[in-house]
Amino acid sequence: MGLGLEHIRHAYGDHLVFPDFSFDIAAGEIVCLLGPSGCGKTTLLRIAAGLERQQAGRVRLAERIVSDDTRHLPPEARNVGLMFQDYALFPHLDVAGNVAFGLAHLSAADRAARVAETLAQVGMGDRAKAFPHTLSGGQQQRVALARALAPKPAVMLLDEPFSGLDQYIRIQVREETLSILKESGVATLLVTHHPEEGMFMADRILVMGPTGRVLQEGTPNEVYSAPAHPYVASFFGQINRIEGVAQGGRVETVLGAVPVPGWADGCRVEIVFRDDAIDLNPTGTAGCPIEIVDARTLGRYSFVKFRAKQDDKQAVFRCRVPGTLAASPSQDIRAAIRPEDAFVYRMDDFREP
Amino acid sequence: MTDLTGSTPKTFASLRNLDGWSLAALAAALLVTFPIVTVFVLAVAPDTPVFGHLASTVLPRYLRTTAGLMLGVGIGTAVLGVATAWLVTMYRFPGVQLFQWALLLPLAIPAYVIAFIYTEILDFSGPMQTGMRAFYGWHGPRDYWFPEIRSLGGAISMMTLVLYPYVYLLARAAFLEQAAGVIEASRTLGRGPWRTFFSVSLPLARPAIVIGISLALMETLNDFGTVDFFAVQTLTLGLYDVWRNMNSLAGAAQIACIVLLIVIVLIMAERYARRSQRYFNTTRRLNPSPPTQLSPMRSAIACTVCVVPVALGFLLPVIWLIYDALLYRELAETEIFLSAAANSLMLSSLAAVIAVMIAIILAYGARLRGGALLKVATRLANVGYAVPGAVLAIGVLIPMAWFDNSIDSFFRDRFGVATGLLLSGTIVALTFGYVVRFLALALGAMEVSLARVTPSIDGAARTLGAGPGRRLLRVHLPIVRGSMLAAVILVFVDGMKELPMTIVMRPFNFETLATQVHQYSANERFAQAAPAALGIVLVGLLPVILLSRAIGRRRESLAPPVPGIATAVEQG
Amino acid sequence: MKAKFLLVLGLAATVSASLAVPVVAAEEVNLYSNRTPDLIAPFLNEFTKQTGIKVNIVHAATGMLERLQAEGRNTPADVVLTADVSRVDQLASAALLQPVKSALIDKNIPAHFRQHDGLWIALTSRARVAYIAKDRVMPGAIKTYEDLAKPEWKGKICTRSGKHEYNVGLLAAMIAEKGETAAEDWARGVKANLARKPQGNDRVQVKAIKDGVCDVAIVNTYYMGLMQTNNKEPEQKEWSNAVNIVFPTFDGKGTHVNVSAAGITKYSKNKDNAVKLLEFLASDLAQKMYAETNFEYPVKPGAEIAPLVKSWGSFTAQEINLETIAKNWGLASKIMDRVDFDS
Repeated sequence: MGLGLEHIRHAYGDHLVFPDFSFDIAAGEIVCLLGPSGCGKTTLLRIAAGLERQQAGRVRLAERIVSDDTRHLPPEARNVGLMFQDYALFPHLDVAGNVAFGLAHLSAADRAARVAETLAQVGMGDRAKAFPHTLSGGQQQRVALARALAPKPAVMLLDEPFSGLDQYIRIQVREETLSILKESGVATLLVTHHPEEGMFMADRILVMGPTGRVLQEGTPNEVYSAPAHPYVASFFGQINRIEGVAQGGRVETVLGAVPVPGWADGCRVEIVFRDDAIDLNPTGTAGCPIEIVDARTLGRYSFVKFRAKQDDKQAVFRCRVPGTLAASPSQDIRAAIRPEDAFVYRMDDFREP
Repeated sequence: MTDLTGSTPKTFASLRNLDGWSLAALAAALLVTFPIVTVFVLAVAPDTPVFGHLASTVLPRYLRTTAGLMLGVGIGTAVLGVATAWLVTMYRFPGVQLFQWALLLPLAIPAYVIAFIYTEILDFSGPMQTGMRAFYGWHGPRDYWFPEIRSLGGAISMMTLVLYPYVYLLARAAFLEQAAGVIEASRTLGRGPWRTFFSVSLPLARPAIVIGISLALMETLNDFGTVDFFAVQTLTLGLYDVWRNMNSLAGAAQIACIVLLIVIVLIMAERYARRSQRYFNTTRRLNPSPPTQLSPMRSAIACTVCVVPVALGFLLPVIWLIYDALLYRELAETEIFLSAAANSLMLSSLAAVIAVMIAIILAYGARLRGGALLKVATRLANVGYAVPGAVLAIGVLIPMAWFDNSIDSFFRDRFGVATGLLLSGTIVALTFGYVVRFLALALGAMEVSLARVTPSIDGAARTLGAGPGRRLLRVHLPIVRGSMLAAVILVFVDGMKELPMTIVMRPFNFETLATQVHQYSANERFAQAAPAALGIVLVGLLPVILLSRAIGRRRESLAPPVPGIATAVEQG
Repeated sequence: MKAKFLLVLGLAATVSASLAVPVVAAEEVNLYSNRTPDLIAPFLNEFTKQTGIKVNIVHAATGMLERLQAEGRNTPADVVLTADVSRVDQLASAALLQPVKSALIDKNIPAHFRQHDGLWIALTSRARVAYIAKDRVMPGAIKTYEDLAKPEWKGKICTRSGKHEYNVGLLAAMIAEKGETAAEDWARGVKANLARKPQGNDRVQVKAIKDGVCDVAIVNTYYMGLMQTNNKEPEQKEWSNAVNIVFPTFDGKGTHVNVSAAGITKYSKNKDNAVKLLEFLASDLAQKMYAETNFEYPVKPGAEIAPLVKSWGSFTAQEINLETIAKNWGLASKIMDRVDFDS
């Protein structure tokens, strides 16, 4: 086992960050903590690293209790690799010096060898003598990764590792980082508010709500395709919501019926569906009649805003359809939810995320 | 002053399109450079072979003693300044908020004053040794060993006690500025708090600490009062001896140039040692880590470390001064004393305001259009701080009297009227001397802080239609207000303590508190010097407290009032 | 352009005129002095009282020569006062002074206390003598300066820095008496006898005798008076009680005296007043005051000497033209370097 947090409780003054938080990471596993800004993800990372001390609960590292009510191992004694959101490279040391920083326990020769090895691993072997301020963002990220990995930590902690990079190189760096982490086989906890990043990197995802509770835990596929909470669903893309009442095993909506087999009649529900869970039918054959509010094409996709004609509330829905929407306002366009892609929640269960 | 010849074309380029600002900057730079150039010229003047005599007799010892003194004061101020700055910045312990400003207080005490107080205390018949003799039953001085205060070690201790605040001030600003990330990164990479301090925090604060030390060392180098009193044979003491006893101003100027050379070589060596490093953070996230609460045991140690310099560098001397001043309190009630106090205040404030204004003109002029000539002149203007005051005073005196006499001759020839000396021997001349002497303090602060106003802010102001003057007044100065205050205060406090220039250049019937101290202490009538010395300390106190409050506010505003005070100097 | 220049100039002149002391005024005399301010203040006050001439003063411990030189013909200074003979002689050598012509001065000040062209005059003298521990040194043990270099005093002598003008002056006088080589040997001998590294001022040496650090100190006479009459810091009286004064001679040729001196600047604008001041300082009244208030010896032969000063004993001053001492000054200073006196 790599890292275990048990019943962690932490507060800043009156502000309770998380009341009771637990999870485990197995050796070699990459776990992503996904949550909105300010939900306490980074605090959790700092508690795992020992930079902050939780108010209650235990931290285990490789079967050893490193922090509980009675003891607290300082970060330097924990053998964790922490990669900071801003990389926190030492500006007074060159690349090799940064990577060698955590290798003080090795002999000079071993240290040099390990530095060379790690730098080669991240593809920075030729920049060993460069100083951080001369590097691009992507290069700095790789040096930070190498620095954290070089001491062969028991667990790697990555704090928003790609947020400082622009869209274009982010994808490339993400792939490289994943392969390096997989290659080194280190248990990894990654913290991000970027669902796509989590999906890409993680073996397992923990989704945190804004109040610091874990809303769902599962494989990327599970949390995407079966979000346990409307908030989780909302995390992975644009969503639409419709409220309704179960009646005879189904819920009638302005965009068609959604089956809820076995649910009690009169049960109030919320139906959540992503923008790609709507079939748009320009020829007026199936679905409910709608009125287009706005349509923008992005080439491969078009984003469409519409209202349902029979909707008393005149709610605006958003959907994404392949290609360009070729429809004139006068046309009879119809839309329908794809029931298999809609998520239905009991409203009584999920007042607040 | 790196590459004069190579940059000549640039000089001309900048001369071709001079605007009002750069012209003013260039004029100001040349004006303040005059005295230093004069010192150089004096040094190359043909003269009796004094230098040969010195080289074959005492010069090696002067150099050795000076090296020892600089080493001692350098290490002393570094250790004391950095340790206290680190403690009050990174930890919480009882009294820490008091220490944050109290640690600056010794800055208000002139080294020569603290030197005579400790001589009284630690001398054979002082309370310390008398007490020890009574306690142990010793009789004569041959019964026991006691460290001699009038020695190199004594001089190092005295100067360290009053000069460490420069290092403290700058180190603290640097520590406050360090991103928490790098320190935490070091911890997760297996280095504990101590090793992190030495391998990350200290190297990162190094440029600031070096500036602090170099300011302390420049003051050490130009000190005469303390080394004379302790008979520690430094270059500066030798300089006065050559000037006075061998009647050789040229020899004195030569020694002054050796002093300057030492400063420049040291600074360049340090810069070379970290030539490829750059010290700005790679991150823009300034997130100072919250101070750590210390355990009672450690709190006690931290308190002790902070109490000792404040007690020895301020409290004890001030109590001693108060005692002596009461003995001679009638001296403080004389008209001379009151006018001396008024003169000190006026001169120091004038010099502080003008020095900062010139510093702004220079720094801003360089920012608008930095020609090589302006750059060289600015660098040169900075080293005035390391020139012993009396020699620099001669450097001011000569060109100024030449100016006055030329005008006089002109008027005599054309109109038959003698204008006499217009500026020489006036407060104007003396104020100018102070400005030349202390410009380095102001210039460093203004250059560094103006450099922090990013070009995009300039750009924004320009697109909104603001010309250079309006940009300076409405954009730059408000942003660097804190540094400006710090610069004014540092020059002011140093001005209150200034002695050698005042002695050479003052007008008739003109006394300052420092000359009043000197009048008595020159004859070792310490008790009579106490009222004036206390006056210097008390007047200097207020700005020191203001300064420290300005730094305290930095944390919230993140607009650093005291950045590298003399990076300008260090680029010397 | 020219008009603008004149305007600026006029402005500058107005500003500086309002700040500076008026250079030319009827009843004034302007002094550059490096004597201790409160020691000469009583004399200047008395002078103003008697003559109505206002005295303006710049206390310039360093740079007086350079300042006079730079100011040239426009210097506001009329009179220079110095605490020793070398400084004033340096001014004379640099052609910054003019001869003082006064029958009264010629009468009161002996010729060897005047520069040969009358460029400066000595006003007061202090004997540089040996203070000995009352309880440890026999009164007859030291008779000459040469005695101080004898091995029997090894580790028993205290003095201030060898580069201080009082000690340089003593050595310059020794050079005049004995020649360079002998003077150097003497300085080396005294250096070898020092109980501690030279430090502090004259009073501190007396304190060292009181403390038992040394038995003999080379000190000026007037400090005895300053210590004996110091009521505010009574411990100084105790120091003085621990010592006796002996007046060594250069092998029987008189005791070394150092002098304070004065001269009139070459470009003095108030020359009459300047002469009046110098005459006053050479007058019987002032000469008497030197002994009373400052415990110095008057240079006027036969001037009254205060009882306290008299109580220290009488002596014969070295018969030497002071110019010789001034000329030997640089050499004496170099000898101090050569023998490493201050190390």
